[in-house]
Amino acid sequence: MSSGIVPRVPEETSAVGRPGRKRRPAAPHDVQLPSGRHGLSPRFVADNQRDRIVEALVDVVFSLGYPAASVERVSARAGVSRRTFYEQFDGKEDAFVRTCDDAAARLYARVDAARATGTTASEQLHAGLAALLDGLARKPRVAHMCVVGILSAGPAAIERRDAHNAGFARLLEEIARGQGGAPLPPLTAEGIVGAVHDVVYKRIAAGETSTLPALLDDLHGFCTLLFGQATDPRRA
Amino acid sequence: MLRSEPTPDPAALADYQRVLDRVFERSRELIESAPTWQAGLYRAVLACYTEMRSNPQALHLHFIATMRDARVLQTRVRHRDRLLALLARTRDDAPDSLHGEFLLNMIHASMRTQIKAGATPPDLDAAEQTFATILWRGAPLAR
Repeated sequence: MSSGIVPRVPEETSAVGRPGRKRRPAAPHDVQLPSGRHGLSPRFVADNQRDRIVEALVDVVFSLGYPAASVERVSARAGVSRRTFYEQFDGKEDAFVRTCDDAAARLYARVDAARATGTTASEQLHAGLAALLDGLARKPRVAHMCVVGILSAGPAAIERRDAHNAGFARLLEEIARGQGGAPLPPLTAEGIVGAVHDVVYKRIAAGETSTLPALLDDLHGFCTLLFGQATDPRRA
Repeated sequence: MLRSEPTPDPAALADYQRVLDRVFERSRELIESAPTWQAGLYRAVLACYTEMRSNPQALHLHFIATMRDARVLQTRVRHRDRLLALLARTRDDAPDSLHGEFLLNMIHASMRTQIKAGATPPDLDAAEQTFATILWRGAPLAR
């Protein structure tokens, strides 16, 4: 049964070896709770277990791929029983979708907060893109799972990804309108989000997630060219 | 409940690759003979879309399945990258590779949005307008 609580996306601290390595994934005992009587609240215990499951899922999907991320394997990696897994999530697809939902929500909040620091549309675009690229680069395993691994995770995951991208397109529209500019021409926001998504996908799939922040000025320049007429009222 | 789309079979993927190969061969001449790099890419993507419209299965893979299936996506990305490499090889005025990649991605995303929204794929007039708008608005006026 699903608890309905949104999982917390893990920090990038541990990693299972990449495919081909003979390293056996061990349960993260350093974050495991003591057994027996410990006086911890049931809520604290449940949160801790959920966080470990999410961290294990990210690890296993990154190193072995979604198809190999069975509930049994993820539970073993997290150091929890299968029963505990199912107390937190409906299944592996549910765990995957909710983890990506949480990651996308955090990334969106980061981008939205960053763009609010800009005055002009161009500054807002620059700050938002910087937050996006930096946010992905800071959590490469989560980025890999939610951008690349998602293609194997079934229609619900794909639908959620499309919904997240639509949210970023609406944010672009907001940036354009917010400065008294004309609305973006039809398809511009969707096109820009799709273009950035594909640029990001290519680097993450190639194991070059850390290079994303270096693309900032170029991507900002391209977006500004497409954005310009709509954001400058003198030219609209 | 969401229904999973069937994974493309190897024969469908092979057909798709053949369509892309035809498009690529045609693009060599189109890009080389165009007056500018924008015009070259415009002709190449128009040739691609014309070919896709005459092959509904390839069109579906190129614009819809590509966002759901890693093998289809990799096939499309390889084709995009070889097109950009061709542009860089054959034209002195070619944009840098990231700029070209961004523009082709944007054209693809815009066409995908239109195809998903409509009962039938956009006609060639609508597609031409999309290609021209992105290639000339999204490109520096002078290099």
